[in-house]
Amino acid sequence: MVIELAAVRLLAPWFGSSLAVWTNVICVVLLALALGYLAGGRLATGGRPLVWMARVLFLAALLAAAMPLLAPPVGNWLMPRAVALQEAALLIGWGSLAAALTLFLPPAALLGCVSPLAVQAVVERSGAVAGRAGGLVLGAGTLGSLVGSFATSHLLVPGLGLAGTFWLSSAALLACAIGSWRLAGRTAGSLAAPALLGLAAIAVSAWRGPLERPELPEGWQELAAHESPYQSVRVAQAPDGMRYLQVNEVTDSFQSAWQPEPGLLPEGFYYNYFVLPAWWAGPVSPWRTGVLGLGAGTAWRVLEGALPEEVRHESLGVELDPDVVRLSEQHLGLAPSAERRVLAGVDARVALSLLDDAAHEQVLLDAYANQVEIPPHLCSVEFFREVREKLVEGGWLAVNVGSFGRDDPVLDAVLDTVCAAFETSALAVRVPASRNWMVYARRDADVPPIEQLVARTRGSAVGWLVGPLELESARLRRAQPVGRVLTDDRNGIELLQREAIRLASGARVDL
Amino acid sequence: MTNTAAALVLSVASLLSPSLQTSAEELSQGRFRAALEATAHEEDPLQRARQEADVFYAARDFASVLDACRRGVEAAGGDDPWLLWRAAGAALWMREGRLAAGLSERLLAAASSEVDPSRSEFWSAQARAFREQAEGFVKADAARASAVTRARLTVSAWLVGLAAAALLWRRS
Repeated sequence: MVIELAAVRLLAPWFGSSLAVWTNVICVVLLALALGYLAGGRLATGGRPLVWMARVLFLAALLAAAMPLLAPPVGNWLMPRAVALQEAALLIGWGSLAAALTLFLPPAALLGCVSPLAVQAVVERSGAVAGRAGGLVLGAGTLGSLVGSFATSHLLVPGLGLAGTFWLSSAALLACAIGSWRLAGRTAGSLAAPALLGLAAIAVSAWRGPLERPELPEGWQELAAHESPYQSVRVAQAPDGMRYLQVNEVTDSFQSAWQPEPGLLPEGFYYNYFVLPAWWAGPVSPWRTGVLGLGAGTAWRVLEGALPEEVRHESLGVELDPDVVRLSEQHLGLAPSAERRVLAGVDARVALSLLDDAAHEQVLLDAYANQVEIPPHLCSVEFFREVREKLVEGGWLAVNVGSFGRDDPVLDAVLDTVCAAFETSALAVRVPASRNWMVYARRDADVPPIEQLVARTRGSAVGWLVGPLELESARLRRAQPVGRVLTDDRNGIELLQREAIRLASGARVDL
Repeated sequence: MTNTAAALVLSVASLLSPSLQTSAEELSQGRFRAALEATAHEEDPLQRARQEADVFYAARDFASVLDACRRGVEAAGGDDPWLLWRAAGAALWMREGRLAAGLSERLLAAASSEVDPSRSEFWSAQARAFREQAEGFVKADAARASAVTRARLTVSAWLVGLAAAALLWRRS
């Protein structure tokens, strides 16, 4: 289980950790275990099960030690740099499957051999019947998996990093191999060579240092990188001085952006569109916001520099990953204060229940997992109803939705769901020069007609953001749901997201 | 492209009708809807398509830019440098490398048939710049396609290897 769980993390810097990647890794590990069980059963009938067990454990230890060395070249070979998100669907699917087969099938198959060999060894040494021996081995193995699962997620990866986790696994397998060898009655002297080889493999792997990450585009600089309990986090600086927070990012996407001065970002950054409700609402101060999915606090920095002059901003930002907050404080200008508080390590839905009712002028939702997936529990009608309760009358919800166009199934579903939850009209606007749309809705009030919204911002610092929204092709308005409303019980956002990427990658434009 | 050069060439390129002048003025004021509506009064379909493409380009709605250019090319019954220029720019924004490369080549060809040398030179320079950018995307496309092929071959190799191992297993 340690290797299986760490396997997804090992692939994540190249292929992400979406449902497709998890599925591929789990399928490969199950296939490998099945093959290992068959092979182990056959080996067990040939006698000397403890000797065979020592051999397969020893080989598995070598492979586990080598994995941090092998993953970067395999990942780089199968995933080119900075692919556009809509073009990456095939690569993510096939690439992660190929990488999982290459990296994980051999060690997982070897470890699969261990169970039948262990059963045979118990039968031979204790004289127990096969059923009892099998129960003993399965029970011990499952308890070991349980401990391995908890330890990997909560202790090993956060504490030792990915490479360290594989080295520790390798050392543990090597210790088990030595134990089997000794139980088989083999001499200590015959252990010296394989044990030294195993230790040398771990030492070489460790000497190469932490896991290499996918290369950045030319001219980019990695400022910081870290394996958090949730994801691979990296801060990178582009040649133009912009900095980006990437988590498990394998395409040209990013989670947060930073520029030296607070305020509006250049065109194409959806964060700018979070500031519009404060202009549309007229001067309301303080403008109290709840930011669900704070990341590096890009939305805060945009609001800080682009709210109407007389408006004071107060906010609570929620970020699931505390390491993202820590890195952002160091490299991306995130500066919590009494007026802008950070709630880290808490899921947005849980955090929502901690917010005061009817006490926010705006709730901003910018929560993504695995690059492209809005978590299902953060886009259900029940969730949006809870959000609605946190808003003052006339307060605004703004949701960032990754969307490849007006007909995107994800956009459609989120718009319908927001509309159903708020029981008012909802407006989606295309963020020019991006693949994002922003969905707006208000508590107990309709979003005003676009003419009014444009008029309220014309000539202001944010006027240039709103002008293009006058065009019919730049917006969608829903008075009531017309299609699928996502619920906690029946959500399906993952399937819609895969469908959206499939449609976008298949779309052909011509002239 | 420098704004001055573009303004120079484009101002010569079209003598704007009153409706298109209105549209251009509205666009310069950031009134996108009014700018688009003004184009509807233009009778010349080619001029209308050019102006529509301009409005959508300014709004960064690149799919609509291509639609407008397509209508314009159909109306003109052949390639028009202005429309190709706008379309190639939109294709680059959309990272459609092959489309942008093709449009750049067509723009280069259209430029060579321009009578006015200054205009011909301008379109040619634009086409070459677009082509260079498009080549980057085309290379990236090729790298992506190769990576997919490598991944598929790797998976196939594993499946064939496992099937062969299963056969050997049965025989032994």
